[in-house]
Amino acid sequence: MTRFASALGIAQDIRTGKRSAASVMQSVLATINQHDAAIHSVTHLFAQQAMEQAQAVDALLARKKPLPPLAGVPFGVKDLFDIQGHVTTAGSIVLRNTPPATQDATIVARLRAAGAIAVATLNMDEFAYGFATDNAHYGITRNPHDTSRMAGGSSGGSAAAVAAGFLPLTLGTDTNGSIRVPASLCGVWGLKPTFGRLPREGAYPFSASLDVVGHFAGTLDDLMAAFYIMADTPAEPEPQTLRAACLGGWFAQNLSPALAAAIGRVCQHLGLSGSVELPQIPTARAASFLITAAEGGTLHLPRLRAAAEEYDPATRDRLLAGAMLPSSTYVQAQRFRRWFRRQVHAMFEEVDVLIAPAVMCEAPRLDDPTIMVDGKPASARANLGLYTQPISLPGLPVLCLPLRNTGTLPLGLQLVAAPGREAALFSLARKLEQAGLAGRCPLEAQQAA
Amino acid sequence: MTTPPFSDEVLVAARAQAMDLDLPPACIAGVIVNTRLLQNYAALVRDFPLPDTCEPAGDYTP
Repeated sequence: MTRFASALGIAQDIRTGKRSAASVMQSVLATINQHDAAIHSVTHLFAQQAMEQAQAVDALLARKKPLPPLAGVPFGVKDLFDIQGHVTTAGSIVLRNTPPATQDATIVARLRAAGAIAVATLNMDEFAYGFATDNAHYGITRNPHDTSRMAGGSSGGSAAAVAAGFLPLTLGTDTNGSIRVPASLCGVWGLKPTFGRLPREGAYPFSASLDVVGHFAGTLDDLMAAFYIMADTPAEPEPQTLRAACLGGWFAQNLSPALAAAIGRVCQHLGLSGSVELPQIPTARAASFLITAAEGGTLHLPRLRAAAEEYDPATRDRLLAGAMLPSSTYVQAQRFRRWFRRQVHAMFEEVDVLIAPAVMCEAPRLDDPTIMVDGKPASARANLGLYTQPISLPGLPVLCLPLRNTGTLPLGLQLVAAPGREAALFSLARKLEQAGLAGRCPLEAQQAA
Repeated sequence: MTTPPFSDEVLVAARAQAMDLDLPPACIAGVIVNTRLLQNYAALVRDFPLPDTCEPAGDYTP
């Protein structure tokens, strides 16, 4: 039984001979084949290659060769990471006739070098433009905790595959919240590292100013181990003393009662009172939105001129509107970004980690995709990034932490640190995990296992 | 004398024409909705005063 097993646990079992890598892979493929129809997280399975690679791990062990740290650990990738020999679709049919990738994306290659095995590509919003993983070409990914609800997006397949226990580790990207929103709605750990800390080579772009590659995991230890492998750096010591603060103002509005109570418990545990505020949050969100629209639209404009009808209509219309934004608007948004960064960096002279909600409520229903904003029902697709988009603008590292024991479907927090200070995020997350306040939200299938 | 404001339809058509972009009819309603949304965000950014010395953000070099 490998369903819900951790990456480090699987690696340990294989290394010690408790299980063969081939048996792990057989179990993973069987689980996906049996259970993914209800969730629709997977878009392509590399079944044969994965089995062959697992058998190669077993052969190494049989010859008493040393195994790398993630030997035999299965992982999945958002369908925009290059996998050698496979056409990268970025969740679209527009790229279906492009040549197969000639090499793996850099972070995929680093995971493979550590012994991990790529098993599947995972569903996403077309070209990563959305928060719903509602894809006109490849279907809707459903929330494993309640399949009548959204998984979030754009890396929804990656979050759902971890939440469902199919894979212990998956890759995603985050431009405006595309790791943090689905991690929150699916109740798993997610990390958007500092802008530029992980190499983006081989990840299909969306908005070059904001795109960050990152990942999802079922445990904090897996999240950390994969991060340092992908960053190609040794694990950093976790600081023992941290100054934390809750973000108020914009980030304290529109919270569901359950989330407000959960944040209260976190603050109480950490001995925090009061809150701090970042300036001009609505404008920061607007700037993030505009930069994304302009850069995404400009990227796709040549193909939109030639084959607009091949795009998902919702994506197409957003990209076209973005492509037509005046240059003065784009430049002003980038100038504001510079100003905003300075304000945020100044705050980190007083605080090590900021705490904010990731999404204001539980996953919205697919048949009623609305959330309450300022007391009124509003489009979930347009507003799920209310708390993530402003924080995207500076380029800070953000860990999305699944809250435990909220009495609801999954809810998540953002832990935000100064650039390059992922270790501070891990340290605070560890503290909250040890207090029983954070951890993957179990599915009924997991509880029964 | 003040110029009457463009309608969103006229604005989108003018921008497309300026870029030699032939908008398929099926796109137009959706592009107008999204343009309206972006106009609201653009106004927020436009109205925020910045010093002349504030340069556009390039790569992240914290």
